[in-house]
Amino acid sequence: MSYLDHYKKLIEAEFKSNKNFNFMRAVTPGADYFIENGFPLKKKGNERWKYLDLRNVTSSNFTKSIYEERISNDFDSVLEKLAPCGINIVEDEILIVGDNKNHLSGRNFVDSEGIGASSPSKTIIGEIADPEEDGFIALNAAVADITSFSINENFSQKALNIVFAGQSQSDRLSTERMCIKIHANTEVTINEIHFDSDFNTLNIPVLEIYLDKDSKLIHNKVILGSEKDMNFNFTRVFQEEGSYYKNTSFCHSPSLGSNDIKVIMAGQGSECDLGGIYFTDNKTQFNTHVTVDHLAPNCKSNQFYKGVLSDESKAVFSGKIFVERNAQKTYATQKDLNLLMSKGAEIDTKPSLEIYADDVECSHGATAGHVDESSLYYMMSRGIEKEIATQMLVRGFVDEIIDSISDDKIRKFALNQTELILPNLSFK
Amino acid sequence: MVSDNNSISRKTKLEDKDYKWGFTTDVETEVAPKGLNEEIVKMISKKKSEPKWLLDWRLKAYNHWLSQDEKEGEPEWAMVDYPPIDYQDIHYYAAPNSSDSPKSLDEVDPEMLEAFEKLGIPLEERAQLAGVAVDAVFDSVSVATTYEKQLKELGIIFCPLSEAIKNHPDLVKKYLGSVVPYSDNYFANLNSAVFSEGSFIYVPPGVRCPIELMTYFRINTADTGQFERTLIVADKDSYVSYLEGCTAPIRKNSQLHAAVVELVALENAEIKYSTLQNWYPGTKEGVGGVYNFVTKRGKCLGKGSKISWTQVETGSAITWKYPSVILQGDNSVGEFYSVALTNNRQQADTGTKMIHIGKNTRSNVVAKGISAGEGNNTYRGQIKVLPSAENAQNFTQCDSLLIGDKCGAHTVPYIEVKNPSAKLEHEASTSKVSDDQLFYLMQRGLNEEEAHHMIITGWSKEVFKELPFEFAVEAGQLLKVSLEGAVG
Repeated sequence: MSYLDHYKKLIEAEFKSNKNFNFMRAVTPGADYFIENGFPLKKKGNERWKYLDLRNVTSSNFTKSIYEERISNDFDSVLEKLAPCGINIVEDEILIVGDNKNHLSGRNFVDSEGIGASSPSKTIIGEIADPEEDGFIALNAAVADITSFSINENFSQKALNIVFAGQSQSDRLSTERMCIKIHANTEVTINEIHFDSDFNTLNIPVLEIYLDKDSKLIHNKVILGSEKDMNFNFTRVFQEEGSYYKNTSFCHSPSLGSNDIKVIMAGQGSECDLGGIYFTDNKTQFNTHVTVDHLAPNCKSNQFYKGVLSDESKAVFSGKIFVERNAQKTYATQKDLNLLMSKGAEIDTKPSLEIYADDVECSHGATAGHVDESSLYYMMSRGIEKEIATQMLVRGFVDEIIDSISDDKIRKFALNQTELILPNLSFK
Repeated sequence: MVSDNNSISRKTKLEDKDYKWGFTTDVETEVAPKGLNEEIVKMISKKKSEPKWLLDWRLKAYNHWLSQDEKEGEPEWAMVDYPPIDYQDIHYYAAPNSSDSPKSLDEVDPEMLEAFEKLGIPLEERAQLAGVAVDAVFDSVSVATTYEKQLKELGIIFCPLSEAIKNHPDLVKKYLGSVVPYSDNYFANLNSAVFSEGSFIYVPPGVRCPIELMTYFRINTADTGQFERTLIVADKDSYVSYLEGCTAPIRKNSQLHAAVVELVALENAEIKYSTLQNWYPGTKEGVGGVYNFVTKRGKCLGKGSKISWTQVETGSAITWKYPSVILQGDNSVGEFYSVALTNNRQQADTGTKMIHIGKNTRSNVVAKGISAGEGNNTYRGQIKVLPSAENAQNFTQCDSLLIGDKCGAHTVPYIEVKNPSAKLEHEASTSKVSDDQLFYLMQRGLNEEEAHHMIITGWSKEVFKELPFEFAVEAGQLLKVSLEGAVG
């Protein structure tokens, strides 16, 4: 366990830098857990990561980038990356993570809790994302760069774009943590965009989101990966009464990574819609882990995920609906559909239900297969080349998810990305 | 965080139904001392006058079990909860006192016959009327075998495993442990070391077994773990249907039952294996009851072979059981049909594994779980398609019904696909019995309990229809008895 020594030092150094009391209180359990358990590499009893080969996370000693490095990843270059999304500085709210953290402060929709590590919210940090749930979350907690703010009803109804720019040096560790509170009766769209990096980097972003009564959050997530970076992405959401949460993810797999979402439905009558598409290619491995905890009655949740797998890649879907004894009148669905495009690709899907209440309606479904032969035949018999026909069918398969992205700019961006990804997929 | 919802939950009351089959037969029994060590393994082997290769195999299994016990212990992944088992506090061998096996029904101890009567299985009557040959296992030594002659004429071997070891050593040696190796899992290891009885069936090429073969297992001696091992081999182009039914008398201490069943189907052969399990589930407070930790696996070794598992599980305190099929031959077919019911404090973690290896292999899984009282019912299944399994197909459906607000229903399917030409579909649902349906039936004069029974029976039909006729009737009856007083 030599890699642990490295992280021990990293954590100690982090603790020595002047952090305030609240911060320490929030990060200590994560530090303790990580030093004891490390990354979740164990085989036995490791349900979440059992299908992934995580050894690469210990391949080098990742260190956190220094402030100067992050600054060098300047605003303009990020804007350049954003241009294809149609997101620009004039029309849109942009929060670049790991860089100009404070440029949001002073906006009238952000509450006084402020932004930046100096004033983390006492109520949220570490409360929604349990550091002892997973080694990655624990490491994030231990050495987190925390951005914490809340959004009130003065929000202009436009989207807030949170951009993770991707790191520009090898062997760098990024442990961003965003703690976002949505005030009661507030409706917000948040676009979270992770750009890929051409360097061997380890990114462990954690989002903690608290939805107050009758609030509504549309959360669009784009994860772009390269064959070099690793991205273990965690989203933890806590829903109060009558709140609505929608998460739509568009993921092009990094070399190794995950999109890990957990929604805790604690308030009566809350609702959530989780959906997404994951593309895996080359030798990448990607885990989509979705958990919905129904703790209160009369809640509704949907999960709808699709995967397109090619080359020798591996995708894992692990969905769970948990219904507590009290959560009567729960309505929950879960669906995971996969297209296996080439020999050598592998899908491991595990849509599970754990139900302790009787007056519920829960269902799940999963499929895996190739594109429909008869559709392919139909198109080919009308003169469309096999490859093009296959691409069109995949496009149609994917569109169902992309269409559900409600933010116009992100939807277009996702479509463009799909156009870029499709021709490169090998259909053999 | 959690709201009070008295108004929401529909009150359903669950009461204990009496275990109708609870009685003990007073037969003199020869029992090995408690505990497990190499001497016990050797003793069992000696009692059975086994050849050396089998003793060696048992000892290998025992040593493997020991090392596994030290390293990892019992498997912990199942959603079941029970106090630790003291493996040194179990009798590993018990045999009814008569040293020679009876040759006809007249020689059978009348008390034993009476026991079967109480179970509703009058041996001779049922055997004759229904055309069923019964190889009754009463504790560990076979009591009576019927229809042996008729089967002999066809060349079918249907006998206790110990007899087969003596008379057909080549067959046993070839196939024993070929599907479930001695090192397979903790409980199968234990079984391999100490198995004392079970059935052996061999159906020769081209023979279609004209009758349903049947074995009745009963656990009779207090604190005796029963470790049967069943081996069924269907040679080319043959067919056999095997029924297994179980009941056990009331016991105070939990009883361990770790059986192994191996099925081998050669080219174009078909094996149908049906189980009706109604062992003592313990009291409604969760005291006692049988721990049913069983490894059942079939191998479709030949092209075009088929193995079909059907099970109705209503008994046992804990059921840990995953009848599986390895689809090795091209075009082979695996099926699994199951109804599992848990009431009071019963726990069931059951399901299947379908391992697709050959081309054009198909599998079909229908699993129904019913949870009542404080029971917990888990479906755990795995569908695995290996790269070699071109055009493999699977359809899985698992449905759960919840009766009462203290029970749990869980579904944990694992789907692992490594071949793009495979087609897999999985669907599952969990709900309670719909109010509309209940209202409709009650409006027509049924009371709530009758209405529930009618709906549940209809809901389970998909599985019952796979059972041989005699069993289908008994299964419906069993479900009704098991749910008696569960609704009200």
